[in-house]
Amino acid sequence: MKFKLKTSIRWRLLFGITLLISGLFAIILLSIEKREVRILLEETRNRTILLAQYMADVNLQPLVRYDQEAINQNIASRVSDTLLYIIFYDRSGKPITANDEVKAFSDIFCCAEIRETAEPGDRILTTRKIVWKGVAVRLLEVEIPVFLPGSDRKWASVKIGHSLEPMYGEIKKIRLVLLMIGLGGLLMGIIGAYFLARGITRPLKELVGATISIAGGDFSRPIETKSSDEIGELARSFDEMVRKLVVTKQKMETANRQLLQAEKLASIGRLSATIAHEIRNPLTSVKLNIQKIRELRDFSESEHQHLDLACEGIGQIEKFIKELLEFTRVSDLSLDRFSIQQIIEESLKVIKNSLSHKNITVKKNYGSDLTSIRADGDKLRQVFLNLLRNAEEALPKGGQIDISTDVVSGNGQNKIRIQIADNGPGIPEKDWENIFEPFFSTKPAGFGLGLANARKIIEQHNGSIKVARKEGQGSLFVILLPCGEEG
Amino acid sequence: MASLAKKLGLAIVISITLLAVFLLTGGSTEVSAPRYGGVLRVRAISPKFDPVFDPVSSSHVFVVEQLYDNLVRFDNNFNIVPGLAEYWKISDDGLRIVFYLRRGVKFHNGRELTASDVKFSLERLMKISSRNRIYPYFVGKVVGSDEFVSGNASEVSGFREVDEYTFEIQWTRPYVSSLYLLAMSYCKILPKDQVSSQGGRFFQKPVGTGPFKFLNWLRNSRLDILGVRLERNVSYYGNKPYVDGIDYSPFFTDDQFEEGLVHMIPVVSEKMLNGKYTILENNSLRVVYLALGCTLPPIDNKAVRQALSLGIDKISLARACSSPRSEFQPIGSFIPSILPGFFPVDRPPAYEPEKARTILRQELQLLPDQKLNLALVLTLPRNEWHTYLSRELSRQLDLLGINLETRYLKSDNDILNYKMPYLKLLDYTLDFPDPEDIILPIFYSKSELNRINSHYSSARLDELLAQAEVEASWEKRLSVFKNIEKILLEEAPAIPLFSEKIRIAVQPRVKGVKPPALGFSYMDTKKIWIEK
Repeated sequence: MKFKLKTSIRWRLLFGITLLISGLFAIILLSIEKREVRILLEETRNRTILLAQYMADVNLQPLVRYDQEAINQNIASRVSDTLLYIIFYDRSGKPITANDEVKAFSDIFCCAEIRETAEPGDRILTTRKIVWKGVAVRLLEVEIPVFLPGSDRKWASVKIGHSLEPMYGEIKKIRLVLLMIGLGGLLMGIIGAYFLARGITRPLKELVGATISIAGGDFSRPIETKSSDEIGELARSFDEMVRKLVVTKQKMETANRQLLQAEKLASIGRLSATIAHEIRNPLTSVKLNIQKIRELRDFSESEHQHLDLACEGIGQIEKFIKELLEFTRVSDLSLDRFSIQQIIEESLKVIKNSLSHKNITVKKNYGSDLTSIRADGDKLRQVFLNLLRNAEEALPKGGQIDISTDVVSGNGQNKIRIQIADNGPGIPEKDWENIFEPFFSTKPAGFGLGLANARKIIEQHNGSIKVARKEGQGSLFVILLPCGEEG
Repeated sequence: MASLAKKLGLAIVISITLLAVFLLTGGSTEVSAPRYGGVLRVRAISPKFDPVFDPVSSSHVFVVEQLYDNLVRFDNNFNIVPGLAEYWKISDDGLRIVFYLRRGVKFHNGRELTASDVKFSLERLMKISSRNRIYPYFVGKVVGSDEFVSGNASEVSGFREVDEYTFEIQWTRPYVSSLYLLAMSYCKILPKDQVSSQGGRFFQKPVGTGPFKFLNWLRNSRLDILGVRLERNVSYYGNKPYVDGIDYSPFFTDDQFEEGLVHMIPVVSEKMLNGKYTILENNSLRVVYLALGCTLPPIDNKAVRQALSLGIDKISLARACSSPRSEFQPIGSFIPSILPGFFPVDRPPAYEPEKARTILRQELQLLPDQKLNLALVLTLPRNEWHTYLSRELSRQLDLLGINLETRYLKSDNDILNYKMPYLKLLDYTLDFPDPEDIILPIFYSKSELNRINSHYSSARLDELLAQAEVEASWEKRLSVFKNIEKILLEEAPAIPLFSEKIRIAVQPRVKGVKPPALGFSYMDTKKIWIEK
């Protein structure tokens, strides 16, 4: 079953983070913009008021003297592109003097806004939009009263018009800068969000891929992650789970195999036992009848040979039936403490004549730290005898058999390792497992039960037997038997 | 833990309490608040006491300033501010000025001030010409004034009562410095009815609108009048004075001052300068020149006059002539910097004796052992500082090869008979702070002082003076006088020597004393208070 995500987490994360960053940036930049604009407005307002106050102070005595020329000079020296007009009014609000350009604006020039009863600190602020020298201008107009020292009545008033265009220009610049910052921030945010999303979703994607592979039976794909966050933790846990799954699978497969093997063996055994029983009785009858016939008549030499052959054949069948029944019989182990070396030596004794007849050398390398083990000596002897016989049969004249024993550790357990190798033709690798199957044989004569029996006996001892790779030509059998103590 | 918190809390409460007490009571004597009460005792600058406080002729300007008010007045920076007139308007052509009087201003006798009092007081200035050096500033300048002084009109038509509280002056030509004139002590406003009915007797018990009113004369055991006692005018239209009254007399002694019985006296000794008193300095309107007889050789030679100017060390001269009471400040310009709007600082007086000697040798062609004889002419009465001046000037001119003889005249006119080249000491006090009041009387070709002292004549200067007289623009008028200054520096009809700073000693417990722009006589006593 394949898993297909309908909406990518990466894109959702990207979208969500981008939206969040955009929102945050928008709020912050808007706040900054508002604040800056307010500060600029305040600054402009205060500067304009200060300018008005300055004009009032500088022109105080000229106002007292009604020195229009001096006032006009002061006005001319201050009027500029930003300070558009300065108008002085007398107490009654009639204009005393102003710069010429403003006189065309009768609504501005004609009268003072500030009342005659104004008090110190009073001011009138007005914003206007006018066309000044052909250009539309927004301006802030400030009018303040002028007081002479010691007088509590307004002497005069001064009105100034200060262009707000530079301020708006500044505001525009600020907005542009903030916009650029916002766009830059947004871009960086998108990039950052992308990498963040990628950083989160990539391990997830690998997890998904690994899950799909595992679902498809491929346990070999590890998840590579270097992150130390929860995703990394998840990936590592997943990897651990996969490893355990693999081990469990392998164990299950082994168990399955063993179960199958056991079932197979059991079914072979049942079948074999049935066949053996069915054959044995008539076979015994045949053998007895042939013996009777030999006793009843004299036969010719060739007739005796035929009868001998028949008996031999029956004998072989009996032998096969015996081996088969032996293979199928589940017998309990008769355990006792034995030295492996001793069992091997006993096995060698049995085939000593066959070995010497073929001039086969036996090289032994027994480990010094071997302890005795609890085992069924007879059955183990059978196993070693079987292996040695197979080696002897496979070896040509002058061949060599190497026998070694040592102790190996694995999974907290010590095991005795027995290695029996020969320098014969060897066993094709494709048959390494098959040779332990019942009725499988590479020899022209043989029932194929020897190694199957050997595996059965070794497995009864909680050990293992397998064919291993050998340096050079020949076969190598490795048997592992538990020592029976912790390592 | 609980007891520690309690102790901490108590410490905080005590600290706050102490701080509050400190702030309420004040931690420093320098920031004490003004208090009402006490009588301020002031010794007169003038050694004589004339018990006539006529604004036109009184030598006790200090008292005049307490008793009466002007239409306008000076602040401490020589700026014109409202007085009895709370507002005024000047016409565009500068020929008319309309004053709007404050309502509810009362004379000391309780009668309200009106425009007719103003008209009366200003017309009075043009009546008494013989003792009155002021009326030239009005006569010929106010419309109808000529007719008035010649007897052809019973009033000055240019002084007009528009209504009870509105007074108008019409000038014959724009009078830019008129406001400064009207702020001077002689332009005080008197009660028409009282002065008209009492005549000279009015000044035996004068009545004005000022912050102080006449209480009684200070007399000795022989009932000689030694001074005057003024009392606070509780109906004053402006800020009421803090002190209850002022005792004013030229006869308060140094001992009385040292005992703390007198609060303010002109500095008379170096000891006072080093003592525990507050010493205040202020410019007066006095300037000192050496007028040069420009028609008598060799001083008729401009180069010789310039050499004389270069050859006199005014700094040493000022130092020699100064006294604890009066410090002379050397000046290098004819128009002193104290006058509003002119030079922000005095031009440093040039002193180049080598150059002076060279010019003199060149111009005079004297033999090596020959000296030029000059007279230093002074007018009686003799003065101590005349002696110092004469001595120091003699020493300096001797170095230039000039022999200086000191001569005293009984009257200024006596100099007209002089045939010897001379330097005439011209000790001049301005009547009002305007350069015209220096240039016109001293250097105008037709002025009396010039006729007597320098006999100087410059058509260009006269022309500029005439231009300044009618100039409606203050700024343009300033630049005219700056041009006149250049001419005078070039022509050197006189040598500017000093301006004057007066020193007074004040008891430390007298607070709020600020040196006024025009001199101590114009002190604003309303802001003075006496600590306990």
